[in-house]
Amino acid sequence: MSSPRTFAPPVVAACIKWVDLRPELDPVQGSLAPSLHGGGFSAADLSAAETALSLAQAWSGSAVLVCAGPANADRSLLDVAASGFSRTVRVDVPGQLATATVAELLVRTLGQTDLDVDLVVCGDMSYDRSSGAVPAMLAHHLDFCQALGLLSVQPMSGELAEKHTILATRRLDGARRERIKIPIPAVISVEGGIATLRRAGLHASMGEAARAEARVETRGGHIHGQSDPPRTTPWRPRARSLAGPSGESSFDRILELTGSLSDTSPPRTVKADPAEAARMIIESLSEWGYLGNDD
Amino acid sequence: MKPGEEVSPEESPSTAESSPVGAGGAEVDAIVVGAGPAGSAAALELARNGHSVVLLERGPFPGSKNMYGGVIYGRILDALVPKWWEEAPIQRWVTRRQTMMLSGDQALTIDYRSDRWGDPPYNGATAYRPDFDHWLADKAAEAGAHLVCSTTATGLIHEGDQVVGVTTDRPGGELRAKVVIACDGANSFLAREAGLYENLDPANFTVGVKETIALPPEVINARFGVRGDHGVDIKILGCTGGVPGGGFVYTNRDTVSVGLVLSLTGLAKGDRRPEQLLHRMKHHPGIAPLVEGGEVREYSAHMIPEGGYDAMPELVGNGLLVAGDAASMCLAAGVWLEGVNFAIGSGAAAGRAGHRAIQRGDTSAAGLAGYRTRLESSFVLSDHRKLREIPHLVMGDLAQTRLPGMACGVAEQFFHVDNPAPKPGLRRIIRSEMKANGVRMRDLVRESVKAIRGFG
Repeated sequence: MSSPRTFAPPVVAACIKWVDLRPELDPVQGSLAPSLHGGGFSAADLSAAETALSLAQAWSGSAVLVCAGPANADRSLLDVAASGFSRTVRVDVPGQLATATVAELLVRTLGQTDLDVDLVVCGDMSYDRSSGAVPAMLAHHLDFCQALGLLSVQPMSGELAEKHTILATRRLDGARRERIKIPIPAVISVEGGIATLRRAGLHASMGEAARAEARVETRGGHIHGQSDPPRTTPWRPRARSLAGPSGESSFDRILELTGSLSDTSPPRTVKADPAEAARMIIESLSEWGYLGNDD
Repeated sequence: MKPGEEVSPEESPSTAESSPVGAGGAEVDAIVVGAGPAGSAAALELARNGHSVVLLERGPFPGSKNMYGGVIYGRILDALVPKWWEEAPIQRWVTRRQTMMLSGDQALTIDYRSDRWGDPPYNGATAYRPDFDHWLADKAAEAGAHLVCSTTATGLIHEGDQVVGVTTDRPGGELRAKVVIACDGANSFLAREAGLYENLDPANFTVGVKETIALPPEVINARFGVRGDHGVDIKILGCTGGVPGGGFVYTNRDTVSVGLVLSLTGLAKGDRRPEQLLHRMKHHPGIAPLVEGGEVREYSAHMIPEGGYDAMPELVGNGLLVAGDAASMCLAAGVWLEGVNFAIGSGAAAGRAGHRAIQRGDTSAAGLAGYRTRLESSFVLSDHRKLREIPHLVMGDLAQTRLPGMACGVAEQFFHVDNPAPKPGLRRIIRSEMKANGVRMRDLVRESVKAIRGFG
């Protein structure tokens, strides 16, 4: 009889980005001016930090904090680190860099053997108009599986607990949800509302502040980062054009707008290999109008 | 270390050397509560004298909850930060001071300017408090103080009648020290808990409301008659809708601060809201041309302890010192509205007194008594003592409502040319305006005598 396989305590990395929380927005030009003291982390990133701590705690593993940001992020970073992270690494991102560049810098750190990361937890969005694509890029570069935009994350119990599998909930269209099992290694991103970062103890905060230089390992800076191309027009969120309601009466138009009383395609569960699944997803998205002919 | 475990510095081998735990159960030599000007000055003094200091700040960064309420007179910084003017985040150097009396649609202004105030070591400056407080707290941190933000001191820890530390709102949030310096601002909860305030009279407090209005620097220069980084400080009497108080206008680099300081009890009696009164003042013909076309960037409000010398608490307790607004150190004496310099002065004195007491190993009230002596021999308490009657004088009905009306009326009649009628005599004008504004000669004489005595 073979002996049961044992899994080493995993290393969970919270991957966060230092952003300006209070930039000044020019309402006409759409340009942003940085605030002097407004730096910090988005609610989604703080939620990711708490999720990472909770998972590492449940698995008796360790949690590391990896932050993309400039040197003046260290004070805010140490406050998060004091919540219980065993290591804190700041990837030096001096200014606004393109998403792909930030992801590449993070991958260089996360892929290093001394960290030996098993699970990366990111926020699903940051406040600096970024694309939210960094988690997917990390998963691609690290060759981890990915589950993004999660609404709940908890470690699985029973046999799967040993394998450090996660049970998560993900948002689907039409206010539907799906529950998924995520094996590690993986990259996940979480929404801001799912967890509130625990307050660091007073002594932990004082300790972190006292040894700031020793605690923050700075990496990166060897890449010629590129900024996203400058905008020539005010920034606007992506929009999808929809035809107006065509009903005769206002009641009909409201029914049409709200979708009440209209037939909807019921959810269906399919089992398919990845290629077939991808084809079906694209087919459905096209059918629902999310993909144009050129996509 | 496992996630969720709180790490104390002494548990971590890598931090044993930096552990601030001291002898006698005190984890640090001193705790300073509040990283405003008083707290940062106290922490800076203590840290420079080699003591372990924790500087607790309620906001996410020093100055985050502070609003600017007066000109900063920085000479008190000379001893703490030599050549501070080269690095402090100053908006404009005040080279022009005005006292403006408003009544109805009239305005009478006394204007003084001196370009010498625009050169080092300067006289006064405008600054944004989040910038200024952040800068000064950084100085304390550079000197070795441990700045811990987002942490509220919720109470005092006592051993017998000795204060030996504070409790905070963080997990495991008790911290012990040989000395606690309460710089937790107006209405200090720590000083009250320690029983240092005998009676806290709302009449000793005002509420300051302020709008910061953005205008291009060249527009500010043109409207206020200044150039470059020179600025203007205008103190206003009247136009408070019958509520005792006063107003102010300050120029920053690309904004103008307009505000009112209003008696709490006066507001409670009347059916007026501060923002209504501020709106009214902004539309006064004397103020409107200064701010029109600007965009309101910020509205803020803050309580100000204006009671002066007679409203101060006991400044020293066993293991406890009180400084800055927590000790009611703000000077509100009509033409002088000063807070930051008194806060820095009292904070630095508290830091020095704490240092001496820790050195001698006696942090009882007797051991810390040097704090009061230092303040008595400095401008902090000597100015407050000298001007102790002025706050009552300025907030009185005569100075608040009748005097501005009378002064504006006299000026209007005096400068008004009503030919072919001949010019009226000045005495007749004064008499008629006194009568029109309900000013009796004996009241005027009595208040004048008080003012002469008060101002020394």
